[in-house]
Amino acid sequence: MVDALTEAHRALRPGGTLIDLRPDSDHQPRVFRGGRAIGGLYEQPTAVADSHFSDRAVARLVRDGQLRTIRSGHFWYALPPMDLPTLDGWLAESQRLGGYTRGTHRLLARDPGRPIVVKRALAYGIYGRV
Amino acid sequence: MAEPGDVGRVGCPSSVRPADDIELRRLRADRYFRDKDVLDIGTGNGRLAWLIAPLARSVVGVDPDPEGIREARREARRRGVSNVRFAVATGQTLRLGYELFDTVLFSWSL
Repeated sequence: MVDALTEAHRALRPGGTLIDLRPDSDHQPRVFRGGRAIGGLYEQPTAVADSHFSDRAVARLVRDGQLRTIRSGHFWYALPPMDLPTLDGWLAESQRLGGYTRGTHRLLARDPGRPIVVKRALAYGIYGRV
Repeated sequence: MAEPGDVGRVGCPSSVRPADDIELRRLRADRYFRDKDVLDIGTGNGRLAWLIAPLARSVVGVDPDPEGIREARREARRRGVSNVRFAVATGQTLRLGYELFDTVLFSWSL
């Protein structure tokens, strides 16, 4: 990641812009049913660690004066409604997500046919090359 | 929170991404693409490159997945787009040279 950032910085013209867009490990996915939040999903510890490593790599470039922060934040988006088997299958294949937070699957399993909506957060940072 | 219409799609095996236009719309970053030379790192099958291309002067999309890049190139031919190129590479193995791009986008790849 540090290598990629270094290459990207080198490839940018002075005054250019670096945009970092990725899942927000500080805001874990939320699970909704019938409009009500009933639980969540958690990311694999390795995914969280990778994300924080990337955060630190970007912060280092900012601290060193190679980038300046233009703006940063996060936004939420909703996945299409799905049933419990579909969500189970997605989580089984996911390399990033580890599973349900405590109690979430038990609540969902009471009525597995009802649509579930997962909301995820994406983090972004927009930086100017100094 | 998600806004009306911000509904994603279930697609990738390892992750579920928003519909492509949601990312760019919510990012409010058109000014960083308009009339710019853009490098899209982690382009996948070019899903964001297609949205950036009409704004940008040029777009180079790179991704380590050869199948994604093959699909992107097929789509480029189908669309007849002339300002987009794709290459198989990771961010770490890029050897692009100095000061070639106005904007670098790390799309789920940093």
